[in-house]
Amino acid sequence: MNMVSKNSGRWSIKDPVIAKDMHGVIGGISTLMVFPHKAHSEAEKETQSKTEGPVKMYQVESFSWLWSRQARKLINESVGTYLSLQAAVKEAEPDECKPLLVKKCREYRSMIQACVEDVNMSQECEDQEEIKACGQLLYKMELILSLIEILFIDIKPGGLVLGQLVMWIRVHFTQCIEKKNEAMESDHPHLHPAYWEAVYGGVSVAEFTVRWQHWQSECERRLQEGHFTTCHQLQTVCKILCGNQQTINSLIDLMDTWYHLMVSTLLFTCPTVKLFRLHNAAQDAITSIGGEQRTTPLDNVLLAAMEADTHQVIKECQQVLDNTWFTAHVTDLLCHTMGQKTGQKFLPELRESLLLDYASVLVSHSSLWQVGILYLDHCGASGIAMSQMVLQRLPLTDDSCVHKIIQMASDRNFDSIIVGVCRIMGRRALSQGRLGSAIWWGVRSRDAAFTSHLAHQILHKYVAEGRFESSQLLDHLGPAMLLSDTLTFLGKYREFHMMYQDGNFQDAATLLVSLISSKLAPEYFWPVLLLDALPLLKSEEPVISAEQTYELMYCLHNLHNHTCKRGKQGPLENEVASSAFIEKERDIRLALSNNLARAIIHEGSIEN
Amino acid sequence: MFVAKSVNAEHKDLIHDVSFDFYGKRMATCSSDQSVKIWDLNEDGEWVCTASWKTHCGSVWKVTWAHPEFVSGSGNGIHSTWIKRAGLVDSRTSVMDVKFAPKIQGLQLATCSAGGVVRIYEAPDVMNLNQLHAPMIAVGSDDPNSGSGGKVFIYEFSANTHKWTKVETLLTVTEPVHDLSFAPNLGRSYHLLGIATKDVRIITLKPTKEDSTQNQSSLSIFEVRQAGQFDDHGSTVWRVCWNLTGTILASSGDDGCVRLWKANYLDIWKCISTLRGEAVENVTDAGTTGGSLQQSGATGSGHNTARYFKLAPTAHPAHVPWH
Amino acid sequence: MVGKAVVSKKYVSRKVKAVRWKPPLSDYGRTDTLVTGSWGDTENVVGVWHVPESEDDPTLVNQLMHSGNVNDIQYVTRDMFAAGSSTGGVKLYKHNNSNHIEEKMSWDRLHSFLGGAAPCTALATNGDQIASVGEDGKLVIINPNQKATNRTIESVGGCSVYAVVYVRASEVVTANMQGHLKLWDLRASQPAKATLLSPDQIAVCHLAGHPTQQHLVAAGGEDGALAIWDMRNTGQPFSIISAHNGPISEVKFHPGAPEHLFTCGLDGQLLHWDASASARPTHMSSFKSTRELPGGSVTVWLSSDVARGAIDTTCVIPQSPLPINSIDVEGTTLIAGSDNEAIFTVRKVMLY
Repeated sequence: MNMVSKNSGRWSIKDPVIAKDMHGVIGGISTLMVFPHKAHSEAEKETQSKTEGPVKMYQVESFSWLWSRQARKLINESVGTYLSLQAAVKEAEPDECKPLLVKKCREYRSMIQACVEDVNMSQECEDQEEIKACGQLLYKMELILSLIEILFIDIKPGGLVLGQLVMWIRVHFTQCIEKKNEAMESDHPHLHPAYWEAVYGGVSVAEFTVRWQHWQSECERRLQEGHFTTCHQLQTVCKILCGNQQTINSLIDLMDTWYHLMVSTLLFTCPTVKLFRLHNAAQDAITSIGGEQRTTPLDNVLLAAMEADTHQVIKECQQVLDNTWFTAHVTDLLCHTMGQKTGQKFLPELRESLLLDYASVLVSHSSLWQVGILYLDHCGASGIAMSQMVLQRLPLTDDSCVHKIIQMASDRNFDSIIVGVCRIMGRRALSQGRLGSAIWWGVRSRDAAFTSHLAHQILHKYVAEGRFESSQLLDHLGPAMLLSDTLTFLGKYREFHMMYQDGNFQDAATLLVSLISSKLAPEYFWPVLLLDALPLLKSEEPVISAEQTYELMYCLHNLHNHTCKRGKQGPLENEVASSAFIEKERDIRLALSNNLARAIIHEGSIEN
Repeated sequence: MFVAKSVNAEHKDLIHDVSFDFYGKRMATCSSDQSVKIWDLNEDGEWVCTASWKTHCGSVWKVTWAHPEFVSGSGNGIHSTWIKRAGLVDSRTSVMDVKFAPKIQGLQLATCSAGGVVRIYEAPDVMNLNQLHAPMIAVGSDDPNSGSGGKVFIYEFSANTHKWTKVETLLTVTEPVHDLSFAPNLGRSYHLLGIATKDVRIITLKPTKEDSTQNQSSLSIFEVRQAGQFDDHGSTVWRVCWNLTGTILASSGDDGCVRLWKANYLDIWKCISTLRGEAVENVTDAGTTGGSLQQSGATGSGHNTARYFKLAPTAHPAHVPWH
Repeated sequence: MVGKAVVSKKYVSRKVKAVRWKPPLSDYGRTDTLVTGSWGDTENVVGVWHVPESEDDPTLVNQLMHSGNVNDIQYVTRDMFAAGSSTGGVKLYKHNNSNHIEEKMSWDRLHSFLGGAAPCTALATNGDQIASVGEDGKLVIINPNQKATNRTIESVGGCSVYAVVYVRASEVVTANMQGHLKLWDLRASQPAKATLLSPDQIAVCHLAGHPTQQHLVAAGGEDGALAIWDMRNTGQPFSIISAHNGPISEVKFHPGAPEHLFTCGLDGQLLHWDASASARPTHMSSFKSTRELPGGSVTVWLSSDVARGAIDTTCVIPQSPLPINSIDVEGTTLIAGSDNEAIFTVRKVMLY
């Protein structure tokens, strides 16, 4: 990460076939399929030309550290903090916000630290270089985040920052402490080359006391009186303590970085430095250490932070860190800290855009999409729209996954998504020949046309096979039955069967006739209904009234006419059922007229 | 950073089009070899050709997928047979492009032909459609005469008259148009149109305020703004294609490059990546070198998952500022 | 009681679909090993974890790649477990002396429908048999040491079966997406014994058998309600109590103290149901067939309090924003696996 170009990244695929001309098609959110291609006009001219070598396509995907197993721990842990932060900020009084944000920022930091430990401990046979890069990335993230915490979030009254900065240097630059340990472990500490380096370095990060000024003038006096002339090293220490810039600068090699130098200098020259003066000190330190030519992208982030330029901080963070996790969370924290301030009005929009970027990385991952949806909940209208798009397009691999998608959609009141998913599941079940499952999903999708279609299929099957496949489902449709006319008919027809089986012939007959007269029954099913009526017509006690018999006769009449018409045109739809019906037609006619006679006599005798 | 894995296309000639299905887990390719192939992602994440057939009597230029609510296909399994549901024999000249309408408009298919005719086919009564906005279609002409004015036309469908009416001509685009595509609209107040012409154009179409208060029968009026014009390709641009979120546009041109474009939070568009092919055999093809992304953890199991290789940066290993 | 519970959350970089304690060596012993199965990843795994007696996080012992999502894990013996896959197969794993696992046996495509493999959704074992159910609606019985399947019971209509549990050595109950519970007698040639209907087509997502009262089955519903079924009275559930705000993913009776029950759900909640305070049931006339074995106690789950839905439920962990997929409990320690790519270890979850 030395050179950073402000231009676009350029990447190459080594394949001569593709080198001449290629096209790219985006699939999903971040998959690009690249394939060799020639322009239309050209290809048409030389249609005979075949390509040399095998034709290959390349599936190109953006790849970031976020896909690594270590990062996934951070992703999954931080979502909890992120969500609780959003909820807490909404409810918090303005004066409660700061401690809250500091607390959340520290939570993020401790997560990163835990990840660092985890990376250091990982003994898995992975790429050592990758592990090292991962460790460095996490270290940088923590370094920047803790500085941001000091400079933007956990601002002390009066703008005094040096104490925190000293701590910051001490925690992150352990070189001095290591040297001290190294020197102390040798037999003659003061002879060890590291001894004095440790002493100088140690001084520079020493705790500041209130008696500093008094103490410093005391030092200066002694220095001038020549107390230390016998020992050159002691003299140097004393000069440092006196804030002698020249001396401090001469020790630059002992400082890891310009910020180490800056903090050291400030400590002995201007311990009460205010936040807003920090950028001058930072510039001085950078100049002393070699000017801007020697600064790294990380330096730029820290410098921007010292200069209190939030926009620049975020921008530089994107350069340093190969992930959207950091910028999204930092911008979220900064937005909640200072989003309302003048000059920072860009923060809410930038926050939303960076969170969307982060979430879109997550939702394109086979496992992390659920976490992505949680982030989208806090990204305004675009977040909701993206969330809907994602939930629609998740591959419906199995029922348990579908239930999860439906749950997430229903938590967010995305009714149309649920309908769409159920509809697709219903169609898929139908294509697999699983009618019961298809109806279940169809009912869920509240798709009348589809459930009608399914109900017709079941009726056709019944006509052909004489039995119901999913009778238990049909018997317990409940209010779902009203979804479509055909489904209603199917449910009612099953009710008829139950009544008949229970020996409740009177009610069964009434229901049957009403099914015919209400025109709920599809025409191809009329023969079945008339055949069903046959035993009822022949029952010992008349159960079908005269009026009902007329209805049945009317139905038979229509059916006869239709079959005659169609018989001339070609073969019938349901061969089996129709031939059975034609055989029985005479029988039915006879039974109808017998029943009519019986019913008229019976009804007449009751009236009398 | 980018990683890639190669897929042996099995086509005997150049590929004209690749199209992903709704979920991105199934892919169709078509080629000069007159064949169409269907690919499925297997359990190990590799593309496997699961169906292939010869079609028509000439090159197949374009393939496209309908919404899964209109077609029933098995998500788990692999279809051994594909049924050509309907053949539309209509245009007499070569069909240059074909696209399905968004799901909300039902099963609609638009084609355009070399003869300069746009045809819209519709399968009626598939389901109840609640139309919130009048359907729109953008058509680009590759008429080489740049003096004949704007080359991109926006048509809108009126539910009352059942007619498509031209509502806008993009006068800024006067060079031949080779491809254009509306970005999926995820909560934006305007439409985004990507255009491939002599350069890459990104146009925003914002419905004017008065329009929303009027009833559906009146035609929309748009405020047209050019959000970007980029000649990075330095040559003719042939294809443009959006990602699902409508945030990234891919363009490919005669310079042999594929470029990716993205807007920052202030809607300023920038090229974020450029991909090109290099006339060198790739050693990583064998799948032996190059970092495998799949981390095997502490397991010794010999699962053979699809191997990715890292793309080599040609210039600077830049991390692009995206805001 | 809950206040003293110690919760630790270990991030494991994969979504956890199933967690199971390795059974203790003796009935009253302690176990320090658990197994997990992942789902929805580019590479799914079956993993073995060591749970220290201190309050530290579990540590990974070893893991094996698994083809497809691990939809369920059930121990067949004390050192052998079966894992059901979304690719329709079942695999048998065995712990070796160092607790590492190796694959012992594999049955591919036990479940399939037109056009490909059907996911296996749940497993149950009775010690020498494994029952597997899937989205193809089939109930398949296999013997751990036989490659050939023992028995396949097809369903009609192809409704997905989501849960299975042994209620006796040769009787299983299955539950499907329509909320139908079916009792099968595996010895009979016509195995269907009874069908139990939960109302309103609400899918039953998981079943748990009472460890000692074999006629008692708890069913977790898609609507977040827990149904208690008495298999001797199959007309309707004994009690239905709403608790979760979404489908219940698993239900588990405490093996040693079965008046405690745990449920977890897609709403991210993990609930502890304590029926110990419920009154013992009075003899109800409706249970004509109740003929308890001598000494067989009548369970608190059939008490009038439970019937009224009056039962204490407490949240074991703060509600997670993502589904909790699986739970298991042994002694005083409960484990749970979540879509937050974490394993929860809850120590001192109850006094025991």
